[in-house]
Amino acid sequence: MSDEGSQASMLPQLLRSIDEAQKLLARRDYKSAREALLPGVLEALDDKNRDFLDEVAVRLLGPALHMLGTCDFELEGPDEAREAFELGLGLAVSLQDELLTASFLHELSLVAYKQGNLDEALRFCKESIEKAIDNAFVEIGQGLTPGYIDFDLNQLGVNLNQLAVLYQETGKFDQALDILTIVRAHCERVYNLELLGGVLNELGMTCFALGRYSEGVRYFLESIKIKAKQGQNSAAIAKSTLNLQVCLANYPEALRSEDVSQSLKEYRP
Amino acid sequence: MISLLPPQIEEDIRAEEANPLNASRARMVLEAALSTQLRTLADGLLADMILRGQQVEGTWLQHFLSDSPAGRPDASFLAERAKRFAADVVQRRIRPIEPSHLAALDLRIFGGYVKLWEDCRINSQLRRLGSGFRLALVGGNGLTVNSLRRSLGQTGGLPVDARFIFGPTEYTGSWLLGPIFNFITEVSVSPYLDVNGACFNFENKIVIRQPILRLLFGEVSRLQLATSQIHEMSHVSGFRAPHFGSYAQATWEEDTSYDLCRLVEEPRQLGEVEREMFMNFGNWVPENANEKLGYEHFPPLPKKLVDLVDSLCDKGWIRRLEDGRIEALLWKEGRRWWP
Repeated sequence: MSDEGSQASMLPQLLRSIDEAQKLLARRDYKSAREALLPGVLEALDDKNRDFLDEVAVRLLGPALHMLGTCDFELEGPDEAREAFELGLGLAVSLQDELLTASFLHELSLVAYKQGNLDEALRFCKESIEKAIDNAFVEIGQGLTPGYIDFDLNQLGVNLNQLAVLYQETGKFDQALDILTIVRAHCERVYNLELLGGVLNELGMTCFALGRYSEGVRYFLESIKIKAKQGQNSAAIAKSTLNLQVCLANYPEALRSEDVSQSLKEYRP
Repeated sequence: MISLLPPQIEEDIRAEEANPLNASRARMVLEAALSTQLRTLADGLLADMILRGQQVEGTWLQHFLSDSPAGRPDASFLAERAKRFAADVVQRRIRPIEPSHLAALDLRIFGGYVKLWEDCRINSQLRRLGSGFRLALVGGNGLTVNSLRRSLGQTGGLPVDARFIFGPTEYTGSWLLGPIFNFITEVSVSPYLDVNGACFNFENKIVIRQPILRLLFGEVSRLQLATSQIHEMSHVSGFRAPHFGSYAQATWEEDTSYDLCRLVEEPRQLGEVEREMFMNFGNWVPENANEKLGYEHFPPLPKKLVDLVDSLCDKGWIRRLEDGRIEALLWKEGRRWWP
């Protein structure tokens, strides 16, 4: 398909497949979403079509690769997803699209985490966050509303939460605490209780690892309370409850603290 | 760590943490601790402005307003205070603080140190102890991002918005779309705040400065306060930040519950509560307002006053007395308030 006609047909096909995949992803139908995306993406990536990819098509290829990687991640695991995300990262860098770059770096961090490469995961995650913050600076420089930073603060919160988990996994608990404190303040400021419940759970884990048991228990209990108030599913609530139980089992000295037993005794969901 | 806490107050805080059975005493300790720390901060910022040769003429007035006897401080009072302030700066009793240091500043509250940009946490602790004091921090968002950059080892940062006010507020601490900081007096006020700004808003928050309104109009009536609030509410109504969640769904109920308990620490009839908290419950919004506007301008009220009173009675936060009045139980002496 190297004639003028194929150039004209590439963009609508990519658009259609993205549109369809979005609907399928919303229903978590990863298999059909992958099938919808693959022909358009493969055609756009084909070397013989490179000269015919206009700017709009190239920009559409980024989100398409992102969705394809997500499908691969869910269907076949991190090894398969890595290829799509790495391709997407290369594309985003060449387009100088900071937010898209941040997004692919975040996905690659999750992939590396699943593959057990913690150092690589940490590196990708930090780079992703730095890109997202740099983007905020650019937007502020362009004169957007002062006092309010107009970038996807909630996505950044999710990335930061991931960074804190990686710090925990690599034993950097003080750094995890710093990051989680920032995400917590952010969640409270923008009323994102959904993320806050998870952040408080991670704060609980971190405080236990640092020997700050009474603080840890308070965070866990607050997390359970917020998740319940939010009507989050029982699995999300059970996660905080289980983590609290695991921490109390792993750190039996915590139960000797009067503050800890008082908090547990007086807890009202 | 940059701390502003005098040793005596640290001792007071520890004493309350060790014996957390007297909420009203703990409340006073927390208010005193934050007042001292934030007053020191305001002094430090003002000293820095003076040393950098910035214009501070109008700033003296609001800086010493809470110290002055009732009414507008006269020129001799201000001149005398300014002279004393300058002497304190020269003798290093007041240390200058640059706005760029605000992100790293630590404030002591119960449970440890928090950063200045953890203003929501500070206000939450004040609220839970039944205090009417609040911290309105305008640049919290930017300070958080600067702190994040530092944590990631990045250099540079956003220009800092160093505006804040700390002081006692009215019982109406929230409305459907966000918090209201209706300051009765200002214990500590940033020198970066415009002395002419009697009312303003930031993000979804409303700030009413009664001391400045009194300077402008003499006495301030309830009607004037209500109209000022409604004016600011009209600005906040237009605040549609894409990444902000719904205040009404998230924290309205908790904020309003504590406001209500604070109001009925001295037992009151339900009608009195309703009058005092009419902003919280959106009683001033016509029932068919959204219909007339043609879009969902006002969120639905999460709970009516009577329902909230019932649920707080069930939780044991308040009780109904035989004469129909409502009384708060939350901060009765002997009831553990911490952790």
